[in-house]
Amino acid sequence: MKQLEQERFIAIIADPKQVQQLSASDWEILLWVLDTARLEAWLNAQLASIGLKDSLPATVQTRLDSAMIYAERQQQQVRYECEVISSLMSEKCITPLFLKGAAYVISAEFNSAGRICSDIDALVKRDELDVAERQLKMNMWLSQDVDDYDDKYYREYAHEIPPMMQAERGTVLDLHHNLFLPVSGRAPKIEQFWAKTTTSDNGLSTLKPAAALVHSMIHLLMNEEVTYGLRDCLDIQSIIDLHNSEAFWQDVNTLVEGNGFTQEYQLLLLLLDALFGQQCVRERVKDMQYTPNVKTRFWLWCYRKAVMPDHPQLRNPYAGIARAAVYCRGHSQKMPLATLLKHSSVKIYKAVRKALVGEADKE
Amino acid sequence: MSINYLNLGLLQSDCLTLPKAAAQSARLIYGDAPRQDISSFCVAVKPASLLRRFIKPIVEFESNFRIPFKPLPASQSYALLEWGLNWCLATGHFNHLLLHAAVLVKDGQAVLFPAMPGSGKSTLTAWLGLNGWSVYSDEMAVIDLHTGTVQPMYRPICLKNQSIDLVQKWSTDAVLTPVCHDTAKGSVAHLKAHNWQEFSTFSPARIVGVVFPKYDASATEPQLYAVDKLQTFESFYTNAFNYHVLGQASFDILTKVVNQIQGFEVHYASLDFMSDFLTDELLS
Repeated sequence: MKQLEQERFIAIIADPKQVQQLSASDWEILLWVLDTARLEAWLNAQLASIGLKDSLPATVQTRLDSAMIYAERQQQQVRYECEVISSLMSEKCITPLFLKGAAYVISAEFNSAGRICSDIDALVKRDELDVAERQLKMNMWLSQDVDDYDDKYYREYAHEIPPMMQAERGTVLDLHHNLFLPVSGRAPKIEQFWAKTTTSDNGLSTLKPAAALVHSMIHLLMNEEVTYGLRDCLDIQSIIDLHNSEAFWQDVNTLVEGNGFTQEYQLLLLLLDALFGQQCVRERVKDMQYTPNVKTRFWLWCYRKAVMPDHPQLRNPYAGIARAAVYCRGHSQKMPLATLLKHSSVKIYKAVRKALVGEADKE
Repeated sequence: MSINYLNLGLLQSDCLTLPKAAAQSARLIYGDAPRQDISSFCVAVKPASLLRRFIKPIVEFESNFRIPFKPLPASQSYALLEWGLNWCLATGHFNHLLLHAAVLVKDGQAVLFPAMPGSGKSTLTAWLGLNGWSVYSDEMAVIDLHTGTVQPMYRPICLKNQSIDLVQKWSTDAVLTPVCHDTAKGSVAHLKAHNWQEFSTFSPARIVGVVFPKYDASATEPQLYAVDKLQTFESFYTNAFNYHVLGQASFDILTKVVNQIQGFEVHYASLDFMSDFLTDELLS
C-alpha cells in the first residue's frame, strides 16, 4: 500500500502552497488522511484564501467543495444551537461561555473557516451548574445514557457533566464548570478565565484569544486522547497568527504562570515550532531561553508523532508507542495515582464483564 | 481476479480488498470501466475477525479504514460492498442532491421513481432498461444543484427475490451476479444495467416527471392518480439522502425541479402498460 511520508504531509499543512507538487495518487492519500483528521474543509479554506483552488485537479476540487459544504452547514447549525442554549440560559440569568470549536465558529476573534466541531462545549459557573442542567433538561436536552458509576465519575471527579443531547436535532453539548478535572489538583483558577471573556455582536460569549489558547493547550496536552490533535494545534497556531502582539503574549503568560502550566506551555511552543515552524512561534521559543531537558524532548517526540492523523497510509513509525505514552500521561495527569488505580480497576472490571456476558438490555 | 478500483461514473472508489467471490462480481459489474485519475473513496470488504474466518465467516465493510456498520455473513460480501458504496455517497458526497429514487431516461428526458422497498421499483427499472430506456440509476438520483438535471451513475440494479428469475426469463444474456441469500432484503442479485460503452454516451438529462410506482398483481386495470406539487416536494424531501446537509441549496433546486415536472402515482400489474404510459404521458 502506497504511503505518504509524515514529513511531507506536515510540510503541506504548514505551507499549503506545496500541494502544487502533488501527484494524483498523493492527492488521494492526502485527502483520505485529512478526512480522518477532519481537516479536508480546513485545507479547502487555506487553498481558497491563497487563490490556488482553480488550479487543482477537478476531482480534488469536488472533494474539497463537498467537505466545505458540510463544514459550512455544520457551522450554521452550531451558531443556531449556541443561540438556543444562550437564550435558554438567559432565562435563568446565566451567561454560558462557549469554548473551543463552537467559540471559533461564533466569534469574529477567531478564524474558523472549514473548522468541523465534534460537539458544543460550554462553560457555566460551578454554582450555576445545577440550574443550567435542569433548564436544559426541561427543554429537550437529554443526558446521554451513562451508568451509575460513570455518572458518579463525571459529577465527583470531572470538570463537566455527562454529555447532553438535543432530542430533536441530535446536537451534543458538553457542559463544563472548569477547564480541567478538579480531582487532578491541576484545574486552573477558573475565575481568572471568567475575567478574560468577550461578547460578540450576536450576544454570545467566548474566552478572549489568549485565554482560548491556554484552554486549547490544556485540552491538547493534559488529556489522554489526541485523535484530533493536529486540528487543535492548527487552532492554536491560527489564534497566534491572528493576535500575535506583546499584550496578547502577556495575557497568555499571566494565565500560564498563574495556573502552573509553565511546562505545558514550553512543550506547546516547541511542538508548534516543530510542526509548523512559523516565525512568530520561533521568536517566542527563542525568548523563552529554555533548553529542553531529556523529559521535555521525549514528550516533544511523542506529541509530534501522536498528533498526526492515525491513518495507515500516513507513514509514521513508532506512532503507536507515542500514542500509548500520551495516553498514559493523560491519565496520570487527570487524577492522583490512588484514584486512578481505583478508577482503572472499575473500568477494567466493566470491560471484562461486558466481554464475557455482554451488556444488559436497556428497557 | 482482483479489482482495485470501482469507477462509478460520477466518481471513483479505490477498492483495497474484497473476498474472492465479491471480487468476481465486482469485475463483472465494473470491470469494463476505465480508471479515473483520482479516487474519491477508499473501500474494502474484509473478514471481521480471525476466529470468524473459520466458523460462520463474517465480513466487514471499510470506508477509509473505518467500519461504519456491523458485519454480515461472508456470503453477502458483494451486496455489502454495493450498500457500503451507497453509504459512502449518501454521507460523503455533498456536491449533488441525492434522492433515493430510480432514474430512467429516454430521448434525453428523465423520469424519477422514488419508492418504498417492495413497490417493484427495481423490477420496473430492469424491465425498462431491457426495453430501450437508459438506466441512470436504480437507487440514487444525482441532481445537479445548478441546472436541476440528473447525472448517470455506473451502478448495477439490485434485484430481489422473484424479480431475479423474471429478469433471467426476459433476457437470457442479462449480466447478473450470483444470488446472495438471506440478506435483510431477502435474496438479492445485481444486474449490470449497461456496459461502459453505452454508459459513456449518457449525458445529464432534464427531469420531466416523477412516478410513484406500486406493483399490484391483483389489479385488473391500472390506476392512475395525479400527484400535486406539494406532495411531490414532500416525497423528494423525505427520500433525500443529503437534503439536511445541503440546506438552502437543496430547497432551491427541489423547488425548481418540482415546478417543471408532472407527478403520478401508478398502480399497475402490467409492465407493458407502464412502458406505454411513460412514453405517452411524460415524454414530449
